[in-house]
Amino acid sequence: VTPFWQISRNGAFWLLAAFLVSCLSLVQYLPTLILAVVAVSLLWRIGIYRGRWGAPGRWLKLLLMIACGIGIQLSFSRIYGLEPMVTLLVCGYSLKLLEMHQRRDALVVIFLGYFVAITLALFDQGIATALIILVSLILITASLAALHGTSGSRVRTVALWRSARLLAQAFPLMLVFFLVMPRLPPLWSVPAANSSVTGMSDNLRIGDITRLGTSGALAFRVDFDGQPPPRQQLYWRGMTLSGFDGQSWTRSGWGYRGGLVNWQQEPEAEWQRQIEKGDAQISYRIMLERQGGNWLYSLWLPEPGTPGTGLARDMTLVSAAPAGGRSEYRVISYPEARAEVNALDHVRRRFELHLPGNGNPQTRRLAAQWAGETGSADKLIQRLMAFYNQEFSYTLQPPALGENAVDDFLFSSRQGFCEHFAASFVFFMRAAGIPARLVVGYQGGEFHPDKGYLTVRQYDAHAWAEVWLEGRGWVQYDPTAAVAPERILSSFLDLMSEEVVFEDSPFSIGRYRGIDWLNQLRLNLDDLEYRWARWILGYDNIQESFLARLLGGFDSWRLALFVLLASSLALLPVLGWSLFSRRGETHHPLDALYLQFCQRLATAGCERQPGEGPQAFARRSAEHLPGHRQRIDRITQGYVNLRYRGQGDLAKLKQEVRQFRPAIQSLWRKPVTTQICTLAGGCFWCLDSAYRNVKGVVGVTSGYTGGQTENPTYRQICTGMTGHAEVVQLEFNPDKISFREVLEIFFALHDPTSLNRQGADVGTQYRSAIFYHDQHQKQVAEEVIADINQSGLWDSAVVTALEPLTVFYPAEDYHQDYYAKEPESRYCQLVISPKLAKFRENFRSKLK
Amino acid sequence: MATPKPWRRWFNNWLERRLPRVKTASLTRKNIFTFPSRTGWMFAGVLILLWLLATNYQNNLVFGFSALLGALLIVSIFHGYANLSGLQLRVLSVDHGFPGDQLRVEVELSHPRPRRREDIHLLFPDGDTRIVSLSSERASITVALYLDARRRGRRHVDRITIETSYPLGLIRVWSYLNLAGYGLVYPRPVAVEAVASGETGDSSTRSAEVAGSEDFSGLRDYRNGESLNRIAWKQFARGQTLLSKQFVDPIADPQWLDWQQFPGMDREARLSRLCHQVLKAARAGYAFGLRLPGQCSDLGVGDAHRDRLLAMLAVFEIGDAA
Repeated sequence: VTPFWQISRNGAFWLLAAFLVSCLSLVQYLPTLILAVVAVSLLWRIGIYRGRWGAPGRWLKLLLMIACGIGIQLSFSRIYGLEPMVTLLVCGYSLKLLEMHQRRDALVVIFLGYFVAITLALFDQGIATALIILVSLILITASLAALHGTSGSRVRTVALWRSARLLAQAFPLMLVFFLVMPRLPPLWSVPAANSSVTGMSDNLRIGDITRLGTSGALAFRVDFDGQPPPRQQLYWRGMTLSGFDGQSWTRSGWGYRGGLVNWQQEPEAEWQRQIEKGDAQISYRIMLERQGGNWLYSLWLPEPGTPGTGLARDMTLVSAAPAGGRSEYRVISYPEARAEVNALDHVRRRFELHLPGNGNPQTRRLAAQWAGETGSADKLIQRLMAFYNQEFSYTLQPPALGENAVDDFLFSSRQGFCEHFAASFVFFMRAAGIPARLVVGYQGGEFHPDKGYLTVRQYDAHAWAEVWLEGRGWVQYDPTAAVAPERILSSFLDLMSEEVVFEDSPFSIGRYRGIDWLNQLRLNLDDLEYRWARWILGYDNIQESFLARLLGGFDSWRLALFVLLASSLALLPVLGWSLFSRRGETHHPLDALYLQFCQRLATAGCERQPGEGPQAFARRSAEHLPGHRQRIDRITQGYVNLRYRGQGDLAKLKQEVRQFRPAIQSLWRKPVTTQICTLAGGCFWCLDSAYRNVKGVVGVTSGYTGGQTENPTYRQICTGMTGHAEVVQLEFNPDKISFREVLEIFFALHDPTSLNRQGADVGTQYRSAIFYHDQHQKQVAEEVIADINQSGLWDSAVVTALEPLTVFYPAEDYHQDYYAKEPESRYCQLVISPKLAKFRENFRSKLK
Repeated sequence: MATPKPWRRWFNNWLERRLPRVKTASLTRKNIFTFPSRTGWMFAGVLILLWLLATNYQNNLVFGFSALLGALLIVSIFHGYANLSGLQLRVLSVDHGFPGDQLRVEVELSHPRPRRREDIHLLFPDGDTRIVSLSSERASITVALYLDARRRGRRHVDRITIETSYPLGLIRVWSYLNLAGYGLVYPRPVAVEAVASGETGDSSTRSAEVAGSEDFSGLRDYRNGESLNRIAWKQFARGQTLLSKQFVDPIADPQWLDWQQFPGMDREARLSRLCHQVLKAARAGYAFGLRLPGQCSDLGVGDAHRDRLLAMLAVFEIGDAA
């Protein structure tokens, strides 16, 4: 095995991270046993990664394989389904993770990883899912990068950033591909996801809807084209349940099976023509979440508006194929429509009157008795409703019912949820000889306050009844409304919020509706999710219309041209990036710091030569920039000590480098306008050393001025015959320090009352003077001198002379920053050091 | 070496025309090839599966992500190409050697516009591979590869494959470089059975001497590092400066190594024996020369002289154009 066929450590790391994310996101769809296999594989692989364990033995792999087999066998009745397929894929993913020895194996794991990560989208297409998948893809691509790039395999984060960068660069091109990718109808039929979804089923037992009441999961969203109808009319009919076996209500073949459905594009059937539609109509669009069957929700008397949906004989909507995920459909409803007005044929009538042979004798007796007493269906219904209204109560925690559930409910418990009322109502009607059926669906929903769309959640699940009346057709009755009209008029949440404990999605439901900003956040997130879903789902239509509009036609050459242009446009930045970027090396942090220092020296005109060592470079650059010798030496020494001796203070070095700015100005920074002033206060070494420590002072140059000799030397100055004074010329940034402050420091640094001498230094060259550059400086200096005289700080008057600056002669190089160069010299030791110490004490706030 | 298969021969000829031998090869879009690697094809397979999945489930999110991965494949072409583009390669030096030796070839990779390049594989057809990276801070890097020395003559540097699968290993970007540069392969030295006594030097040969340790020849200022044994202590004791004694070795009689010494042998056998004699003579340290049909060397000593003669043997009767 040659080295580059090995799996780099960072490759393995990102692979494990990707595995963890992909499998975690699939947890809810995987059987427990498979999760155990996943966990064992992952832990073992982490053990290998950390060098604790060796490759797993044959027995373990065999055990895991058996576990996979048993897990799949136990959890799924058939292998042909989405969940078993994904489970199988995850099994392979886990087992191959353990079997990974060479780069080739790692590649298989990576490609399986891509596939597994993306299959998550088959279960859910929400934003959160998309983000999770994106994260997985970045991690997997990072492992691919860490397997192939040299730097990526060395530095862990490099691979991650490279992956993220590449994917970001791929994004514009993805849009192009997405736009032109051919969309074909399904090539062969595939099993849809049928893992347990919270929601309606086509088999209703008493208690089923009560259970839904504790779920805040999304059922569907509705966008009305016009004004939405009032909430008490929002009965979302899902199915009619006509079959009853004494225990459960079922959706039997009548009404929706083949031949009895009129699909959207088919011509109207005979039975459809007999529907009296009426004038009113409501047009809307529903986005249905994933559910377990082919029924669709709609308001009374829907007309399908989307291909693949159809109207069944029981006036409900059905879809041709159950959607594996979200689906969207359009409906026009006729709320005033009347259906099957004329007559129910014999078979149908028997069907809608069907009751099991025995059971619930009390109810049957009462129904027969009331039917006889009232004589008409209307009156019978009124009496029953009144009965509900007076004697019954509505609760989410109804008591358990016995074998004769309807009897128990009507005559003893008298507490129930909507399904109790609806089911007993239908039973009662049938027992009284009136055709009736149970309808299940949702009632109400929550309108988004800003966007206006309606969100219907599982806790809005509802059951009610439809009764066939002579001459009127099917008429809707909701016995729950008779008992608890507030259930229909207001939101379920407002009604039940104290009674209900929601089991799922704690955030998306209205638990926090009391907290305003949280509720707003919830609504905004909800809106975002809805828009995302609309975009993702509605894409197919956009593709064609968008392209057609953009290109003005939809033929092959236009398409080719578009692809060519758009791709080049999308790839241009990538090309620029890859060819012209001068990405640097990934360095050891210390080296990076040192290179930053070198970079700064380079901007100051001193570039490090290839192969030049730090010490040699420090010597050369110090010659080039004598004013910075000290700092250059300190930084170089600090770096060398840290890097090669492993000792020193990194934080200090960092700070030092950060503050090291040998270049006066750089182009992109706000230009600093500095001012210059020239001061004489005795020996210039003192002023020089002191001002170098003052904040805002950018440059200090020792020199001579005020005399007649041209280009004087230090020796000439020392004779005192030149007329020149030893001065320092300061370059300072007025934003940081004012001229006045400079002068205040100046007067504290020397004795301005002794004429032509400072301490032991005697002569005119040591006079105290301010050589002003302009009238402003002169004015300020006069003010400061006046202030000092007034303050009485000194016994005698200030003798500092104010002279206009004539010619400034910089002193010889060795005088510049003399104190730093010769700290051991006698003068420095005796005169400057104590002065500097005192100065540091007094002006701490103004020091660098 | 087995004769190459016809298509291989055709391919080599095509390459010869397309990428002729050059002193310095610059990698540009004219000589860089790009194609998905095996990993890339696997990746494309995954993409097709994903597209099928998306189509069958009519799932736009899967469509989107497979489009993203497809775009990733395309984007990595550009990065791979940029990783090689602008590189310049030349052969700095090639060692000489005997048949069966590994000749060291120094190849210099440079980039006039430095940027970070990594995971660049350089390989010779017989399998010697180096992986190198270049940084934006270094203008060039030197890589050593090794060539098999096979037969006597000029061993031209094999076609070098330079390739990279940066950044994701999905795309193989490569070029074949035909770089000018060769090493000499000397004849295989074969010991001479019976010592064929060469003619002793002719009258023109002057006896010569070289610095050595045998005979005293004079004094000279002592230089640091010279052996203490050589210091002329007597002279030093007399108050003179430090002097060192100089000695010379007399050179043995020069010898001519002649093609004609080995009658009845074929060319290679003669060359092999001459080669052995050259090596022996160079070790022994006497002045020697070489006479080949139509060529005659000077007499001389030392490594440079030996190498000159070996070169004569190496390319004897081998055309320059090879």
